[in-house]
Amino acid sequence: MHAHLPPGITLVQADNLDTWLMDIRVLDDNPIYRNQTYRLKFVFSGSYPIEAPEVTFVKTESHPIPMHPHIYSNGIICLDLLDRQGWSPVHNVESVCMSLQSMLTGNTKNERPEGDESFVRNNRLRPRDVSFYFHDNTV
Amino acid sequence: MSAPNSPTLGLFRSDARPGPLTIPPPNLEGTATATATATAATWSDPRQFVVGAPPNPPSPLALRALTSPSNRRATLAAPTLPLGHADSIRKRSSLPADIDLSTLDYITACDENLICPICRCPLDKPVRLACDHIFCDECLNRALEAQRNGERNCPSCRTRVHGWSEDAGKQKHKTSIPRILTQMLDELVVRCPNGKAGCKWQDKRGEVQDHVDRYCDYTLLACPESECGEVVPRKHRGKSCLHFHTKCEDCEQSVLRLDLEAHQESECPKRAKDCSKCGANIPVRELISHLSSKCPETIVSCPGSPYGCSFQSPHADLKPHTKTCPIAAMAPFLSAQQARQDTQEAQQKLLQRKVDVLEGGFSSIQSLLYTSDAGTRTPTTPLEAMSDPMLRSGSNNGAASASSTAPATENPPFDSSTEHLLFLHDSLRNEISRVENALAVLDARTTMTLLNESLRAKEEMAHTNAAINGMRMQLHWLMSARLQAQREQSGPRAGPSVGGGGAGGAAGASAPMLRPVRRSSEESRQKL
Repeated sequence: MHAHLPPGITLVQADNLDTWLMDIRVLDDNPIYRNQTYRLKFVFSGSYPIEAPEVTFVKTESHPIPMHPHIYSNGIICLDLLDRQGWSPVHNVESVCMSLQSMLTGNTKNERPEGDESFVRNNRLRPRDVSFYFHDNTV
Repeated sequence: MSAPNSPTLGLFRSDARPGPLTIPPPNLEGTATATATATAATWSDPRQFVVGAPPNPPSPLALRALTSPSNRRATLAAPTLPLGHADSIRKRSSLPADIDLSTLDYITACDENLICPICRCPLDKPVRLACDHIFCDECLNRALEAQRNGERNCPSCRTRVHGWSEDAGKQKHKTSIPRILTQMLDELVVRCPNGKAGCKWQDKRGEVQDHVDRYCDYTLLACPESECGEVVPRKHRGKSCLHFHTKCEDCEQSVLRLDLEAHQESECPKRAKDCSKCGANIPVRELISHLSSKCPETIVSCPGSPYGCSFQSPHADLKPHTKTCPIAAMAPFLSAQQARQDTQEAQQKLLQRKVDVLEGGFSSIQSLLYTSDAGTRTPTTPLEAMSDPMLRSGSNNGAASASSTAPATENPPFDSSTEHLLFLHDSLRNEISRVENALAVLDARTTMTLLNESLRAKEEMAHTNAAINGMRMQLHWLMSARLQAQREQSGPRAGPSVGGGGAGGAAGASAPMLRPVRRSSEESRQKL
């Protein structure tokens, strides 16, 4: 199974059709993400693939939340691909992982999004219900 | 289908076995159930089938609706849906319906290019968009339906799709795909969807519908007795209604006539059959286990087969072999070893994880110790930063030499952090003793100064006392001299009176000739 996955992406757990865990690694020598592995959690709704899965980073002992201006410290990712508008049913776990990989690879800013603290403290919505405002076309 | 379980997330595909469909679109399911219950009322009433023209026969339209693609998902989901008995019967008897090609078990590997990018199954009724992307008709419709902002875009390339309409009859966005692709898809070999019931058929996908509709012995059809309302597999259809209870002639158990054969084949506790290989009479219940392990004619492999022995023989001949086969002799030991190795590996994994956790903790402590680069000469830890001023004050007091303060700041890159910690501890201890010494010295010095100061004060006080005494003596003397003088002035008149006149005269005789006065006083004393 792993043989089919692109480098830097590993399947951790896919016991059921509700939740999958994937590990991703940034392949180039980006100093922000060097020697680190990040864990992604995919939660599929009943209407996947018509509806986007809920994709978040999870924090564990060995897996931090990557620093990125579009990733909140609670693991919520602001990426149009994962939003209702940007999602397309032709995407799959592999392509989402690769998109996130390249999103991290291309990043040079070692920072969290603006208002990270207050968002992390106050947000009670599920990631897919958070309405993001996509303004940055550089990622 | 190059990799049936590749993680390209064919959620539909992982489901591609006849069974409960976990992902029916909610809207479709809703309507399907609604129509199902609506028609179920007419179907479950047996009286309507007795005579030729029932008052409300299911119209051909309704029948078609039941077998429509949108309904077939609900049909397949029927066994798991909590529907009433009548409903489930109606559903089963409504078969044969259109088969959901995505739930079929594909035997041939399908080319990746023939897989729908949405459902990840071999394309089912493929359609092509103007941008040349191909999807299953139903997948595309569901994907386009879900797009909310009015504009419809190709799921693959987001090119605008023109001519889409929710009404399937008015859709103009799609064109058919080349015939060669359809043929390639139809030639994929699949298993019969009734495979679980026992059908062994497998053939081209293009023929599966025909097979299920007309030939498959396991397709469930309505019972020939129209009052019955139950369903039977096609192979029993030729007989009359089999839905009545009967007694098994061997075990006297009451079973449904339909299930009698299966009961006698494998369940009946009293029935016995001759084993096809060894000829022994074995109860049917145990026949399967007998054939697989006990039958002397069954070909079994040497117990050492997992460890390399390739010997295979009928059960009866195995014993002589196991006596001579060294691997078979070793097998129990080897398997015990294997089990031990497995448990050890599991333990090792656990330990590895523990070590990882501990190492993580250790490295975090290390990083706490070396927050900044080792090359900088600034105090490397808050502890050292704190101790530094103390070190300096210690050396200023001269209570201790500065020899130990130098290494603390000059060679921070230690070999190991423990060494560093130990060193820190040592230097702190030195510091404390030095500070103690300094305190003692200070104490002594302050006592000395205090003592000195007080001595001097005492001396001064004695001096002042003496001076005061002298002054008092003088005052005394002056007073008595004055008194003497007054007495002499007012001698005969006032006698010894020393009233206000004396006080008034004191100012007048402020600068007296001391000697004569004193003499006079002595004289007066003598007089007295």
